[in-house]
Amino acid sequence: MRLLHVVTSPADGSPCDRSCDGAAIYLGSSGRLSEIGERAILDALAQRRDADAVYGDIEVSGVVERRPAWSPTRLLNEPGACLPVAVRCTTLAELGCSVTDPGLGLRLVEHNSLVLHVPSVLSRHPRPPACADVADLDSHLARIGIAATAVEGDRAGRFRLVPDPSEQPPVSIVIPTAGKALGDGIGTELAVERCLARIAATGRPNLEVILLVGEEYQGDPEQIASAGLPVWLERRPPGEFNFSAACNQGILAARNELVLLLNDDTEMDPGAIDAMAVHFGDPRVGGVGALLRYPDGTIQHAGMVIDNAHPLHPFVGWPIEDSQRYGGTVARDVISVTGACLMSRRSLLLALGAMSTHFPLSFNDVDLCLKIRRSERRVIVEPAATLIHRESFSRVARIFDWEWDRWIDRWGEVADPWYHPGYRRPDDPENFRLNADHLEPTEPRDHCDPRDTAIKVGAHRPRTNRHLT
Amino acid sequence: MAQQPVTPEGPDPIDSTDPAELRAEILRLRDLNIGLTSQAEVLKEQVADLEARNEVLDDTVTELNEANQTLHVELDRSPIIRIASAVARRLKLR
Repeated sequence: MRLLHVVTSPADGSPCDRSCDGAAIYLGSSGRLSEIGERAILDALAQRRDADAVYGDIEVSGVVERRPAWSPTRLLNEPGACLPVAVRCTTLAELGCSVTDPGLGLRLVEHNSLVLHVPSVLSRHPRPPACADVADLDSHLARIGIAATAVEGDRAGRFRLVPDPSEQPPVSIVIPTAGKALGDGIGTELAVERCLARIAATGRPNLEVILLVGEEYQGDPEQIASAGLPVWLERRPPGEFNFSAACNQGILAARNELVLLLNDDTEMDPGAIDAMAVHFGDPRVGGVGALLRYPDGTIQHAGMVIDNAHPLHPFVGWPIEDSQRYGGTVARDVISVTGACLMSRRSLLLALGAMSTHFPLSFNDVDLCLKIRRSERRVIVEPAATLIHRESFSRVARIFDWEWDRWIDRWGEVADPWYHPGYRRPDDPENFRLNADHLEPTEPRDHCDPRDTAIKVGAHRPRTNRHLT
Repeated sequence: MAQQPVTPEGPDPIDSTDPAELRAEILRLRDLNIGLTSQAEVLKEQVADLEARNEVLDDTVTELNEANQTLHVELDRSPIIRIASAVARRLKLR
């Protein structure tokens, strides 16, 4: 490919016809391609003949905006997150829209287009490019089957979804519990009882809870059941506590298509279930996670990244508002979410062998998300769904060598497309929290290899500290 | 009732007549299948990695061999070796 039409005015929206082998990009009257912009776009489209479009990072008023790989869910909350995007002229003809259309990203989602991301600055702008508005988003939501409306979000150009209250699909909540007391100095209340009470307090209809308990369980779920939340008790598989096996037993017992896997040390906020469930209107979504907070309000989980084979929780311990500028508060595609709160379809879970009993305690959630991803379904995190999580209070937060070995044997090194290569990579094996604070940018470098969102596995090459700078 | 086959590890759960055990085993096997597919991909890349390293090592060994041969030729030509050979020949003649 040799031709890139740079459009600067909406009046020039149709630069060519279907026969053109080129691509078009709309920069507005004041946007400019960077020094490498044109070459990078043309090279990417030449390398990947199957790709419909390509976008990159941008610089707005001198500030670099690093972007993740293609994320249809992120566009629901931030429709400008892929603009400007260079689209093949043939694709534009198929879409029947102009390259100047502010909802172009949403059209590409509906068309199931293959869109590449080049993790380098491809254009510079004095202000953010114009993007779709509430009306565009509402019609997009209707076309992809999500029963929600869009409202203005926490900053300009951001939106959030309000699920249609008349659509509350039945959900089965699967909670394995070892029956531990909260131990927070407030009596002897069991963690799972507080968890159930908080679910009941949301008042959400169409729920059932499947509680996986062992011999040690002394609680009384009848009380909760009388409060209007049906709770079914199942005996956990015998032997040592195996979270995956217990989840699988609950998934098999579930009577609804939507299943929420939930830890017993969580406390759900109202609206969380609907905020997650609404995404399943889109059949391409296979897993949805939530934003989990520590009791002090800081972030415990807001989606995961995988770096050098390590699954990490970015933003750990951050105030929620600090994660805003890194996109931590918008719904988006991620490589994995935590199994502490993960919603999926029962049919999909069963087809994938559900939670792997190969990973009884750690890595089972990331393993499941990778299986979902590789079945051509997407995994997303929805920060509008919030819970408190007393993470690992009921067990020691530790990864055993045999768990790590199994993880590396099965998945090797997975390249995470939503983790920008332009961020610093600390790699302290003793400090996973430090590793997760990975969002400080490195010196600008040109990463011109275009990225798609296919999950590729390969040999793990452990990084040594001298490679970190 | 037909007797279930027993493996050295005990009864194979796939032969179980307990629906819960059987369904758990089916899930385990589906997961194992996906895991093995992924593991095969990882191993394939490891093999490719090792082959590439092997090729580099092969090239290095060939280079060292060539250098060794050159060294031998040079050594044969050096005055000290020629004198030593001549001395050895004369000693044999005596």
